[in-house]
This record gives sequence, C-alpha cells and structure tokens, in this order.
Amino acid sequence: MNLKISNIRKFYGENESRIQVLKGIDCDIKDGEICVLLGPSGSGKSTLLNIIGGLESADEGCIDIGDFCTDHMTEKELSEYRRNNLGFVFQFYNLIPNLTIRENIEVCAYLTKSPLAMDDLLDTLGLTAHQHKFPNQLSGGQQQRCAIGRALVKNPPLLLFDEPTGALDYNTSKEILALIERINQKYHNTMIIVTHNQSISYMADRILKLHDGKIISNTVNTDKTAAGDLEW
Amino acid sequence: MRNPLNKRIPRDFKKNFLKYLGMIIILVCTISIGSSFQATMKGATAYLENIKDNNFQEDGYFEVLSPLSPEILKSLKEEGLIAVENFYATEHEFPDSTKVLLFNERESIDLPTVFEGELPQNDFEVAIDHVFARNRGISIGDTISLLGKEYRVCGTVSLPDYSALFMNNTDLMMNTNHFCVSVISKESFEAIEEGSLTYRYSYRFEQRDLKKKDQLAIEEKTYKTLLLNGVGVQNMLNRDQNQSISFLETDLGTDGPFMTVFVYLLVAMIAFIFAILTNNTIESESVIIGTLRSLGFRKGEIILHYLQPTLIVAVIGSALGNLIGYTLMIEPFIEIYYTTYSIGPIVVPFDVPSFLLTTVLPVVIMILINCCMLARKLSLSPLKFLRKELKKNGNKRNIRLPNFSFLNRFRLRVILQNRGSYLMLFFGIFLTSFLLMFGIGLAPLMDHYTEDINQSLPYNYQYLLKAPVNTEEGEKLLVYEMDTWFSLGNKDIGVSCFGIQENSRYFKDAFAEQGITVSSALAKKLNLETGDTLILKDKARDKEHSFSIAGIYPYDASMAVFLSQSSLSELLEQKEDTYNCILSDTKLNLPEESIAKMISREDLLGATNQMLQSFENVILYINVFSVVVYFVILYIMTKVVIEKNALPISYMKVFGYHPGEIRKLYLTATTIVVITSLFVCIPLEIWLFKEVLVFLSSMIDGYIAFYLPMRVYLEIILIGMAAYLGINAIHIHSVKKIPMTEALKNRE
Repeated sequence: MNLKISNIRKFYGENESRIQVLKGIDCDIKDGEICVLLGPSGSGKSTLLNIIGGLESADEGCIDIGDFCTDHMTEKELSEYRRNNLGFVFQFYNLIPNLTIRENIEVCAYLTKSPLAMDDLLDTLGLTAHQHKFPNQLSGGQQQRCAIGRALVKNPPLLLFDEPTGALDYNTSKEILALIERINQKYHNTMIIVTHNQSISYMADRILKLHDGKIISNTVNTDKTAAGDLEW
Repeated sequence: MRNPLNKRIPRDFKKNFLKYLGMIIILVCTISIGSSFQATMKGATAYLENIKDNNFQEDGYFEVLSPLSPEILKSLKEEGLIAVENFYATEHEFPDSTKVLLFNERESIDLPTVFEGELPQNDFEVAIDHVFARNRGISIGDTISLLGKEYRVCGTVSLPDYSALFMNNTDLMMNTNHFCVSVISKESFEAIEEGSLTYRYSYRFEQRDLKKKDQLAIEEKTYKTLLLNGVGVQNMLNRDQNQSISFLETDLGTDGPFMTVFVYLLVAMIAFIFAILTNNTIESESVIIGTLRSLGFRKGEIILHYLQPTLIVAVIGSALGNLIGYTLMIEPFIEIYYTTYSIGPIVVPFDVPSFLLTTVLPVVIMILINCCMLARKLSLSPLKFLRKELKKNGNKRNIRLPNFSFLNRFRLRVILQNRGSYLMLFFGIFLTSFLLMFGIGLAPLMDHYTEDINQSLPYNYQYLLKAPVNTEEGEKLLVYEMDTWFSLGNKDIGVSCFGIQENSRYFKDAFAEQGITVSSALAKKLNLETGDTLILKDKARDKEHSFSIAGIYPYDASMAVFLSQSSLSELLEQKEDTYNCILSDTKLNLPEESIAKMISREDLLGATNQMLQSFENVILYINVFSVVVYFVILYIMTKVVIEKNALPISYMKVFGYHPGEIRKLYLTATTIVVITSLFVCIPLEIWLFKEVLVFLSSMIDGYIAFYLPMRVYLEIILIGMAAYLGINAIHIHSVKKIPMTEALKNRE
C-alpha cells in the first residue's frame, strides 16, 4: 500500500512561544518499502511518525494511505485508521506485564478478523520457547521481538518503528534489525523506522533525512546492506 | 476470539487480593444489612397491613367513666362508628413496678395474634404480650400473680392495638420491660371487681373506605354525642394519634428511607474508592494504555477493560450481600423487631422492587461513577498516555511551598500529590467515625436524657383525676391537653397545659402574669424564644388560642406550657379553681375511683432504659460494622499512596535512606492525615449527630437534647488510631518489600 505525505505542517505552543516543528513535508513511500527517517533530536522525525500513525494531527496537509486520508479525521476515525492500517513498535517495548508473551501478541490479533498464524509468527520471532513467559522473565531483545510480533500479528499494511533499537545493545540491535528485514521480506509490509543511527539507514529502501522540520534529502537506496552486515 | 486483555483480570485480583477482598467485604456488609433490613421491614409492613382487616384492628378508642348504654352505642353506629367493649383491668402491683393491662377476651375487634401457645380457654389462664414475656423471661406454663389471683401463662400474643408498648400515649418511649398487655378469658374477666376496670371502647368505622377528613368528622360527631349524653370521656384517640398503633407504622416509614440513603451513601463511597483505585491503575499503566490506543484499541474497549474489576466486585458484593442478607441476617433483624415491637410472626416476602434496590442499583451506581471517571480520564490522546502527561494542566498545578524544613516540605508534597486518596480517606473516616459516635454515644445520650428528666421533674407522683377529691395533700392544678403545629415533623404534637397558681411549689418560676411560660423541652423542639407567639389548638372544643411566650422554664420532662390556673379555667369555660391533677412528693392515698391515671417518677425514667436494651444488638452491629469499614478504607487508601510512591521510595533506598527515614517521609505523611482527619471530623460529626437528633425528635413527641461526654470522642479517636497502627504495621512491611531495582529499570 503506497503512502503519500503531502505538505505536512505542525506547530506547537501559542503566541510568542509558538514554534513550527514540521515545515511542509512532502514525500511518497512505496508499498513494501523500508523507509528510514533520520535526523538529529528536534528535527521533527518523531512528530512526523506520530502524524503518520494518527497519534497527532497535522495542522496542515494530509497523509494518504490506501483509501484513508488523515486530513480532518475525528478522534474516532483516527482510532479506526490505526486499528485497520497500522502497527507500532516503541523504543521501550511497552508490553503488558501481567500477560504472557503469547497473550501480548494475541492482544492485537483480537483486533483483526484474519490475524497471522500465531505459531508461525512466534517461530519467525524466535519466541516459541518463551511464549508462556511473562515480559519480566525475558531479555530486552526478546521483549522487543514480542513488541514487533504484537504490531505485526494483524498484518497491517504499515509498520511504524520508533527507535526500535534505542534501548538495546549492539548485538541485540542487529538481531532486531535482521528480524525487521526478514519480516519485510516475508510479509511485505511498508515500514517506517525512526532512528538517529545513520548505520541503520543502509538497510533501507528509502532514506529520508530531516533537519529543522524539513526533508533535506529523500534518497532511494539502491545499494542496500543486509541488516546482519550493518556495523556502527 | 475473546479479548486477551481479560486474562489480566484474574491475575490482577490475585495480585491485589487483600484490596479487592476488603472492597467486597464492605460491599457485602453494606448490602446484606440493607437487604435484610428491607426484607424484614417489608415483612413487618405486610403484617401490619394484614392485621388491619384480618384481626379487625381498631380505628381508634375512647375511655369513659361507666359503660355506655345500648342506646348511645346505637346512635354512634348511626353516625357511622361501631364501638365495641374493650374493657380492661389494671394491675399496678406486678413485680418491678410493672403495669399490666388485663383485657377481656376479644371477639370482634383487635383480635390477638398468637405468637406461641394458645389463647386462654379456662379460668385463670392468661396470654401475655410476647415482647414483655421475652424481656422478663416469662415462659408458657409459668404462673404469674395478677390482681391477687394466680394465672397460668397459656400463650404469648401480640395485640393489634399494642404493636408498640407505650404505657401512656404521651410517653417518649415504649416500655417493654415494665408494661404489659394481656388477655384473659371472659369468665376470669367477669370475676374482676368493677372498681379496677377501665371502660374502653374501641371502634371501627362502618364504612371502610372513608377519607381522613370524613373519619375526623365522624369522630368529632361521636365526641359531641357522648358529651351531649352526659358521658365523661376520659381519652379519645384515633389510630394516628395512638402511639401504640402509629409508632411502628411511622418507624417503618422513616427507617426505610433512612437505611436506603445510608446504604447508597456507602455504595457511592465504595464506588469513589474504586474510582480512585482505577485512576491510580490508569496512571501507572498510562504507557500500556497509550500503546493499546496507538495499536487501534477503541476508547470504549479500554473503558470496558478497566471497568471490569468494578463490575466483578459490584456483582459479587451484591450477590453475596443479598444471599447473606436473605439467609443469615434475616433472623437477627427479625429478632430486633421482636425485642422492640409486639408484632406477630414476621413472614419475609420476596419483594422484587426491594431485591432490585439492593442488587441492580448498587451495581449501577458503581458502574456509573466509575464509567464517568474513566470516560473523563481516557478522553486524553494516546500520545499523552504514551508520554505520561495525564494532568491537563501539567506542572502548573504544582504549588510552590514556603521554606519549611526538607522533611516537612517532602511530606506536604506527598499529601498534595495524593490529595484525591486522602480526601476519600477523610470522607471514610468521617462516615465510620460518625457511625462509631452513634454506636458509642447512644447509651450516654439516653442516660443524660433520663438524668435531665430526673433532675427537672419537681414531683414524684402525678395523679390525673376523674373527679375532684377531698384532700389537702399535694398541689392541685388544672392540666389540659392541646396541640400545636410542629412544622419540621409536618404534624401536630400534643402539649400539656399546666394551669398553676402563683405560689406553685413545683413550678416556682413558671408562673407568668401575662402570656405563658413554655417548658425548655418544648422550646428546644419548636425553636421557641421569649416574645414569640405560640398557637395552641383545642381540638375537642374546635378552638385556637394564641399566646405570647413570657419565658422558658427549665423542664425537660414534657412538652408543656404553664399559665395561671384561672386563665386556663377561663379558656375551658370552667370555674376559676377547677383542678384535675395533683402533684406530690409522696404516694397519696386517694380513692381509686377518682384516679384516672397515676404516673410516677419511675414510670418516666424506666422507659429510656428499656429503649437502650432494645437497641443493644443494633449498637453492637453498628460498632462492628464501623470498625470493619474503617479498617478496610484506611488500608486501601493508604496502600494507594504507597503504591503511587513505589518508584520514589525505591529511589530513596538507592540514595541510601534507611527504612526508618523512608517511613518518616511517606508513612508519617499518612499518619498526619489520619490523625488530623480524626480530630477535624469530630466537630463535623457532632454537627451531623445534632441534625440526626433533630430528625429523630421530629418523629417522636419528646425532645432529646444533644449530649456526649468527652470519653466518647476519646474512644472514637483511640479506636481510629489503634486501627491505623495495625495498618501501619502492614505498610511498614510493604515499604520494606519495594525493591531497589524498581528505580533501576529502563524508563523513558
């Protein structure tokens, strides 16, 4: 499913303290692409991700994804948009502590009529042996795998990752990136990864660099590096 | 597919077992008391309804000096009133200064309900009131001495005209220990000397569907007919005026709403506690909620999820509460009625509206309050939840504190941060302390009331006369009953008018040249002051008199006004020196046939002790219930504070604070709030207690002044502190259990 971002503008604050964090973002992300949003802190990448994810509304512009356009959507419509089109993965996993790994994933399977096969998914995530454990019994990497599984289980056309390796060590980060890559190849979801780690961008099909609320470069990466070979 | 989030619920219940158990206990206690009370009340109401027609309960009675002729009875019937002989003899010499009325066998009016045993079939058999029998430990088969003869108790009964055992209609309280009604066989009754008989006629209106206005008109006509025929009417009371009949009906009518309000108040409090607990959960699970919302969960689904514990507790509480209420609690409640009121066996009906009131409504109240809180709280955007920005004004609401010591500022911050929980804690302390005040304070209040009467009563014996007597003993005065409007109770109340002489020995300073003096009891009840105008209604003569109040006389024993004997005689169109009452310090030797009624100091004082006895069980229930509720609320609300502060407490441990120092920071803040609340609540409870007394006084003919000794307040505070000490010990353990790793976890 293609994603079209048109003239997104976003302001925070009022009167003298009003600042513009997104200054007219335009770009297209093609169906099945891995797109990395790069930029320093305060460049607006998380705000853009939140707008794409329907967590925040843009003051101007709109996001077109399939039949949906986020422009002028009500809170209820945004909720439906997220339910039907999106999967979110956060830096700190945000798992439900008193549900097992399997149950955490099932939470999102409940939201769709045709979820992915649970056992197959657990196998892909490498969590079959841990499926009946609770989050606090697992390592950070395993918890992030579970969070990815939870976002993926309803097989949404768009998967959003907010600093997915931000809380992980080097090796575990590489494992997670390799998993993301494998999932992309297997399920062909469009993926947007927000990171400040430039090395991650080498595994992407498209690299968007943001600075001061503007896209300063939109590059199609024809020379992709496998996630397992990334180094930083 | 079932929502996997539901799997959290049993785990949450297991983890917070004590918290949920506490809530269920309060709810079960509240609802079981509410439902058993409602059910018993319905049973008692049904009994009262049944006896109206099945036992031919009287519509009123009058007492005369001698039996009426058949002609007079016939003319009364023509006026629409069927008067039936209901003569009785009075035994004054029963042990323990007890008065027993012996009624003749009844055939067409006020038929007795047999409680145990049977009605008298033979000579010298007596069926006595079952409440009196129970209180005095008299059993079937026992022999009792009445009017100089030995009677075998063949049964215990309740009489429709004495569901509440008021010795005198003007009495403040029932007297089930020193007053008894009984029924003997016709043969035994005929053997009683005529001199000891009182000629009472109980009546029923011939037409059963008369309006109140028409009933009053017939009664008025009857009274006039009796007077016109030269009959000396001693007493004429319709069922509404007769406390022995109307008291229970009124009591049932007022207790019901009172209890209902009490139950719903507690249910609302539990609902608010739940709202605070849920609010706390939402704050601690803010990121999870944000994640679920961003993954596509709808607001309604999240509300439903967080509403489930409330729903489960409410359903379990109301189901268990009703089960216990309708099984285990019914008997004790019926027992309270049996020890207080003389009513026949109560059959508890299954009443659908009452059942719904104690099942559906508490659940609805809890769901509604929690739903509103959740809807408000979850109206924030998912991003706010992810960022834990749950306060609409952010940090703007943080108060800048003066430069206290670090410890004090820290504690103040803890208190301000948990103000919602502490407010609910305050409310819980207020409500339960009030219940305790009621439970502990009722006995001294009634003692004081008795003592007040004892002290202000200037005489030991009061003789109401049927006819003038030739004696120089005692002080003669004219006493007459009139009515005045009591706006708070929305009814007329009886006022005794004492026509006294200027040199009265017993009411020295009550004499007023102009106007009237009112007793302190009446002044307090009607909120009267010197200079006010009091309107008295003489219903027998269909006249109204307006008086200016010249002073308040300290007399708490009765609702009375004092005026000169000559003025009262003039009002009653009698001779100036007319009298019908003698007051005396000693018992007088007056001819029996001249005495209409003799009231002794003991008669007046004994009634209050009896009332306390009948309340003993209720007081015990109130006290146990208050302590349980107190303990649970205190535990839950203080636990919330500790849970909310688990992270800072963990930080403090990492920083190197000792457990004792951490307790000083967090637990001492709670201790300050608990102790302050206990003290601050006392004046509020006193205010509420006074309001309740005003309400209670509106239901009875007398006035109960507020009085609680200092020890009651001390006991309330000590019980509160003792309960808190126990809870504090549990919390010291909880604080110890908070791991330091809590602070070291990955956090945004």
